[in-house]
Amino acid sequence: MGLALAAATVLTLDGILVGLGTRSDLTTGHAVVSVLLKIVFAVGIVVLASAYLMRLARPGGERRSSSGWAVLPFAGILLLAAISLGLAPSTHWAKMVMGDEWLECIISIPIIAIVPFTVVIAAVRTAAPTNLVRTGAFAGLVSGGISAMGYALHCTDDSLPFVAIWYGGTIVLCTLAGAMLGPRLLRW
Amino acid sequence: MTTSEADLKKLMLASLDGDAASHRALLEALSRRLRAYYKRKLASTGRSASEAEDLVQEAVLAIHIKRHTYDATDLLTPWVHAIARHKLIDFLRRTRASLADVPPDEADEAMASDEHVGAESSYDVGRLLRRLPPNVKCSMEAVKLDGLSIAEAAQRCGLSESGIKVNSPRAKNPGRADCPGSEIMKTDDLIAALSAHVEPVDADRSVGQWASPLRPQRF
Repeated sequence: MGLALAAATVLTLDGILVGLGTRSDLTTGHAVVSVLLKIVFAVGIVVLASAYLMRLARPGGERRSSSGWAVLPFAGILLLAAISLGLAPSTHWAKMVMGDEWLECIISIPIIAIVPFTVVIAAVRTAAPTNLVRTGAFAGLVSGGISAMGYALHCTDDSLPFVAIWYGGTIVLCTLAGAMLGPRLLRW
Repeated sequence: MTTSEADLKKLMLASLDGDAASHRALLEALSRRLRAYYKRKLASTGRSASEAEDLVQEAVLAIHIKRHTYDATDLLTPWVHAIARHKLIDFLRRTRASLADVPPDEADEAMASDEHVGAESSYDVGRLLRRLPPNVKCSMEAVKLDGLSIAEAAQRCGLSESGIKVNSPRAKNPGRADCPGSEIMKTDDLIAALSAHVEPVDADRSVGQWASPLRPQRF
């Protein structure tokens, strides 16, 4: 499973670098900070979700632990977003939330997520999950997180509310898609 | 005969190390419990208890194929129960019963009692398989015991894919309890066959690894 996650991440990052390219100002100080922040958010999701996914992959795993920790990165980014909105004048809010490329973001993250999702599902299929909806959801969450991690290298919208809503929202979307696909893809 | 969690777990650990006798003893002990469990569950969901044997075989096979997902630091019986219940729900879903018909149950219920029907059918698998035509024998071994896909089985047996489906009835039509040939293997024979294929399994590390010798199989 760990191997599969590593493979999924490498594949996704490769795809981003080749397909979309990184943002042009990646090495400037301001960009480094915001890219790092987005990556911390995404990595947090991937780490927490995959720890739980590994338990879910074993029979009865869903009974053994709570999945609540996976909400933590979302709660964190929402809190930061709220703080940053509170500090900014309300005339800037629309710009901070919508950014320049919100549409590109909501299209890109789910599409990129297909790559890690395929790899993660293939890995989970060799195990034996007994709650297929939840396992599918967490596979989707991990994939959305990996996808966002890669997309962060390309995306130039840096405001915290933007990240919270569009990154967070699309990752939740990936999770829902995974929950719907889980029972079909993971039957054994 | 009552076998406790500790005894069953000891058998499981030995069978993960590749001990065929322990593997067989484990599957036999579990199949008796599973039989009682499924009969009780099917009766309480208003289904015919005669379908229990199909479920017992599916669960025994799943336990065999998915044994690498057992974490040796855990109790064994909750793991078995999770598989047994998963197979029951899957069966009821396939046969269009409502999930609401499955009453909640306790984790120890799967281990609560012992039942051994069909002990008289104690053929050894060699004898069972020898009685089958060669194509059937090869297909059954490949699909049911080794967990190969239809395409891989076809390659191994030198048959077309439709030939494999005809020769291993369960693979042809998963979920049809009444499909012809589903009685071709008695549970004890299945257990004997599975025990003839025991290889050491690294229970902890193989979860989710690419090179796992065990492959997912649809029932």
